[in-house]
Amino acid sequence: MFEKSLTDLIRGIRANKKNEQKYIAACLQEIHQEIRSNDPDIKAQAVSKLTYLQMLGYDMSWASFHVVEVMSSAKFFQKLTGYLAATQSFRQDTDILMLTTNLLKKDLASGNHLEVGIALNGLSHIVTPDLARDLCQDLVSMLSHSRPYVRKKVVLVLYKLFLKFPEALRLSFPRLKERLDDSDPSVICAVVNVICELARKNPKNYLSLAPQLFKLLNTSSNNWMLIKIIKLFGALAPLEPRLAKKLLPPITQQIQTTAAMSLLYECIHTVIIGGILTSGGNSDALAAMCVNKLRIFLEDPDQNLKYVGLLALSKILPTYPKLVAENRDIILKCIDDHDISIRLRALDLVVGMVNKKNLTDIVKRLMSHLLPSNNNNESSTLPSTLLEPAYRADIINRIIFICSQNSYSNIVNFEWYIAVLVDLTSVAGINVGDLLTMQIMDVGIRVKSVRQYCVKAMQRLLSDSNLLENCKFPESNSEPGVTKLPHNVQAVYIQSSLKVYAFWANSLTYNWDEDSKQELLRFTEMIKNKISMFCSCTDLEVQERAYNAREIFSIIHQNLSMTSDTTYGVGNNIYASTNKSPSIISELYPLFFSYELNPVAPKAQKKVPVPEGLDLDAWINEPLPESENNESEEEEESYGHGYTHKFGGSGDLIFSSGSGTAIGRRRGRKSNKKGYDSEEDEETKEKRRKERNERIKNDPFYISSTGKDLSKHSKSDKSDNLSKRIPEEIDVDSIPVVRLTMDEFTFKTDKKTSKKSKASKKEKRHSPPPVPPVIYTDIGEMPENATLSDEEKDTTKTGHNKPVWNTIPSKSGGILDVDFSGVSNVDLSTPLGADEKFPSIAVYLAPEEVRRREEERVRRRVTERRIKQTQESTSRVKKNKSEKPKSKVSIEITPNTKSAEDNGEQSSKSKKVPKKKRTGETEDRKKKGKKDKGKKPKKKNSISDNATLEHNDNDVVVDPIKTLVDSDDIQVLYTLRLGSSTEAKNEAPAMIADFTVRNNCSYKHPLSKLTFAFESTTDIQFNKALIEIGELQHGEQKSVTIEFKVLGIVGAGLTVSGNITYEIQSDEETKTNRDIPIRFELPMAVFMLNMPKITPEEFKSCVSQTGDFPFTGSTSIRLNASINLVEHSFQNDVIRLISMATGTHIVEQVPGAITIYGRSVQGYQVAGLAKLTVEKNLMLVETEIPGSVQNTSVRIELKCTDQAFVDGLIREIDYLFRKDL
Amino acid sequence: NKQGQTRFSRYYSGMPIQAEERVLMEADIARKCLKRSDVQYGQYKLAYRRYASLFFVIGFDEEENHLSILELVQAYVEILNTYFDNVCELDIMFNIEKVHVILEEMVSNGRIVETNKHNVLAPVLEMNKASR
Repeated sequence: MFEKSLTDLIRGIRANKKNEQKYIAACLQEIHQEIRSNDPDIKAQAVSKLTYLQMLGYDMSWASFHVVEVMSSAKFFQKLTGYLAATQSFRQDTDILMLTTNLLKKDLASGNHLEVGIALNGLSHIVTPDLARDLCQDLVSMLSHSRPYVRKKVVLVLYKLFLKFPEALRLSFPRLKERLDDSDPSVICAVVNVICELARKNPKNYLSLAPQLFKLLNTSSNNWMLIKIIKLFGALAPLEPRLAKKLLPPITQQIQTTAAMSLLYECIHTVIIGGILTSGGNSDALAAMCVNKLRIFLEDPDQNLKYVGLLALSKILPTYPKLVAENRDIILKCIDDHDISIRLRALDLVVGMVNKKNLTDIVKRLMSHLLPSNNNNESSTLPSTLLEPAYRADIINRIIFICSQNSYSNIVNFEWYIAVLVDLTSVAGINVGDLLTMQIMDVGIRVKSVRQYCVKAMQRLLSDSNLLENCKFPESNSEPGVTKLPHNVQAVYIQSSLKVYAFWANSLTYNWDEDSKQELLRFTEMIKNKISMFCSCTDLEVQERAYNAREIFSIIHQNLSMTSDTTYGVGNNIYASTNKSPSIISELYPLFFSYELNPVAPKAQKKVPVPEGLDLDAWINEPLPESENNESEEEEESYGHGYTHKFGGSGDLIFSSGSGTAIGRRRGRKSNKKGYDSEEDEETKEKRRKERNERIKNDPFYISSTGKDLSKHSKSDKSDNLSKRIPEEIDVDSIPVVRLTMDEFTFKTDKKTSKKSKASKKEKRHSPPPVPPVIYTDIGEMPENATLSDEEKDTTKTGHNKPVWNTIPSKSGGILDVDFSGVSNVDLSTPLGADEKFPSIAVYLAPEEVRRREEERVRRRVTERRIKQTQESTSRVKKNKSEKPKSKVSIEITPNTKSAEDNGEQSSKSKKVPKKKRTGETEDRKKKGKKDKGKKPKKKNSISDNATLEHNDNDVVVDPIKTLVDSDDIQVLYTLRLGSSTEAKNEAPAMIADFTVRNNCSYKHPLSKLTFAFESTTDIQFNKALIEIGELQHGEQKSVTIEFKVLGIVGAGLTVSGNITYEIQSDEETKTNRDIPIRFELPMAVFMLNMPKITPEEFKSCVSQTGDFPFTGSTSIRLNASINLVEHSFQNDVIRLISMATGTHIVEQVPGAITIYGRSVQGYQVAGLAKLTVEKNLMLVETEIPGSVQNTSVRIELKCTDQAFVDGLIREIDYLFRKDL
Repeated sequence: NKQGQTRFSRYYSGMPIQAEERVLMEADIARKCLKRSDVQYGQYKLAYRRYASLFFVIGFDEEENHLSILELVQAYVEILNTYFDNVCELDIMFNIEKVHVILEEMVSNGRIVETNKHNVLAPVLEMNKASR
């Protein structure tokens, strides 16, 4: 009486806002008490409270059992509460679910349709594969329930069922299809819903429904359903081109007339994605109409319409870019929308719309989003999301993407682009630095004309104190702050400062006078001092460069001061005459600038063909510890490293020196240069080279000798020393590195657009097609004779990678756990095999089957298997007893002749007539009865024949001939064997089935048009699925052989199915067609190879490497104690059967145990141990056979290299023994 | 509701295993709706409508028709309105089972079953009678 009701609880929670946790904890305590109460009302109330708390985030899984109790309450209200709680709290792994099967069955059969309704709803939430299997029969029969209320729910629940238990789909689909013609619109709607969902997974199964759906499309007025139907057609249309044409008129009609925006949208969407546009005749008109309608969406003030409108537009964009472009104005308006999702969608579109003309405008708009501070009054109105870093980063990425796509083909003015990039750097708070750096460098490298501007911009950036707080750039370079930069930056920095210095010094030489000389002196002094601070750097690269640079500066300084001394000493007259800069300055310049640095494709190095006669492993010079060449190569390498590092993953460019034409260019420059001593021509070079080689030979410690060399002031020596640092200066032709030419470039400046590109286009094989002006479209320099095959290899590689990409699950991070794989694999196109039955039917007919399944299930779940199994078996016995009478009453008859045969005597009582015949005359049956009796002994004989055969030669099993069909017309026997060409491991094993057909017709009529038809499935593929035999006289016997490949996983339950059709003259005149479904399983043993016996020693060593046999399976077989000589029977029958079932041979046999070994076609190895155990356990006393105290069983353990295979073997052993003993 | 508290929730295809996780997710979704920031949550799209202080949010996958989902929300609210006679947050809080049942009638198994107001309400009313 004093319990809180749910309302009280809610009130209480609201009243205790401050200490809600505490209050709820107290309530939970109460609920714990209440839920154990015997009063169902209190219990239900507790559960309902718990459900509420569950919504607030409290765990209620502990109460599952109580929930089930409430569910089973007789009172409707309590039942409702219980189901609600169940749907909210139960999960797939809730154990209690197993208990609900019967409860659900009961509720589903209830006379109260409301109860049925809630049960169905509940089921849809809690259904598990087990539940699905057990209940699908009930549900399918409910499809024809008298109330539409129930029917529609059943239809929807079935969908969930299909997901959990895909076999059900095949079985119940015809029934489901009937419901499309239901009298109640909501039932139809439900069916359409379900089919639509199913068709999303595997549309081709549902093509056959098109006419029906088409009719609905034209007649129905239910918008919800129309949407679904249209969606469904959208999935179907790509599969059937004619459908698209047919759909065109009704869909156009809908688009024009419907008032519902959602339907309109769905129509347009389907038109776009369903490929209707591409196949229809007047598709342009339709597309235009769609886009016009979408424009209405965009103009609508409703955000949702805008959003979907943009979404649809972006889908139509790839096919009809022009139509979309017509709406540019409105799309651009959407970019400024305050709703971020609309913006993002609009951005998607904009990215696709960009062209040369509108690029500037669009980028400007985008920039305004990034830099709202420019416009103070605007920033206040912008929503906060605009300032979100992720959004801003996204915009920057998009800007860069639209600008750089197609090798900058849209950009006309690169100075503008650089300016944009520079502006982007000042956008605060986002980490896009790398991207921007890359872009700036990329543009700077590719576009020559813009370099100057670029450098200016960069300088401004560098001096921007906001950007690089500590770093102020040269002219007066080398601020102490630089040392704080990362090492790779420092390294580049030193090199660049040297370069800048050289350039500057050189520029001085044009106007050389005393002032500039003094300035140079002063500056050299300064920079020398500054650079020495890098000499103590911890990074080797920096250190080395710093030392080098310092030495260069000191040489220059010395040289300068020396000349200045002399000039001063001699007097002013000399000064006047020597209005010429010291040569060291002018010499410094070509060191850095004589060669053009061109981008080199990242793969260029690899593509350099090895020149003939070059042995890369041989020493180039005699084994000096550090040869010059090595060093320079190293250096070059490190350059490459530095840059590739910079460019990150997508960096396509590294630097290297151009040779070849570049050399020519340098010459030209040289001769032009004023004050350059032109005497340094090839001869002197040659001479110097020799000199140097001489020296190197004499001096093994070449590097450490630098200082010594420096002390010599011979000019040539100096320049030599200097040149040593720069790789390209040393005898270029002796380095077999990159042979690069300019002719692969197509660069032109804006002004001199000579149409050279066409000629050069052909030359470069690697460039993307469009060649806009001003741009290097090349991915970089390639060696001349780089082979195309490399590239091909690359493309194939990427092609290969693609599927891998695609397989990355797009729903990673998803929160739901639905697995559609099963349903999408179901194939509805093949007719239902007669053997395919709802499992619950099989329950009544083949107890063996159920028993096996149950056992399998139990085996999976239970760890203490043996105990459980015995319990199971006792319950099984009971079950059998209770089921047996049913099986007699049942009208449904299995057509599965195989299983009937397997069941042996038991099933001989049940009639084994193919489905079709069931409708035939009853006299058939009487005959059958006789026939079965007659057949029995015969079969036994055959088995015992086999047995003796086996027994005599105790090797590998001979495949016994099995009966496939044995009716009063025809008898089909078959044997299975391995195909011959199957030794190759990676090939799917081929099997050969030999059939022997015999006309058994009692009226002695011939059978005509006898045909075997097999179904190829995903697992089993027939080379030739149809075999015609033709006519068969009475008593005649013919053999057929059919070959097929087993593609699926070899494991339990691989079955081959098909039909035998024939005509038979039943009377004098009339011929009747008969159609007998056939089906047989592929036993594991068939896959075993006939291999020589191995010795016990070999076996031991083989098995001891347990890593080879990671998968195990085991079973125990109860031996009927009524067989007296258990020991004896073990030795004879059991062993034989085990060996037969597994296709293994016996390795060793000791009293009471054997070991077996075998190998399958696929290379799976199987090793096993079978042991006879005699237990005297009172708990397990057999109830079946009174009087026997002993419980004997054979325990078989198998180890295998494949799980499915071993499972299959175990199953077969179980099967075999149940059959035989 | 406006404070981001969940008043009512229903999942049709699995849900985060941990209760805490779910609460976090719901809060996250509510935040998104309140901020009008993003209509995407993981692989799901969110459609939401606001009625006074209440947000009705539905998550659905890429393939679903956005507009029809919004219309479903509308239909649902209309039906609640009819049933409760001017529905408000408190109605939903205190009659959570009814709300569940009504939704159950409209959406089963994640699919729309019934959108006809009368058809939805008829069994609910019957149930009410039956429970008494």
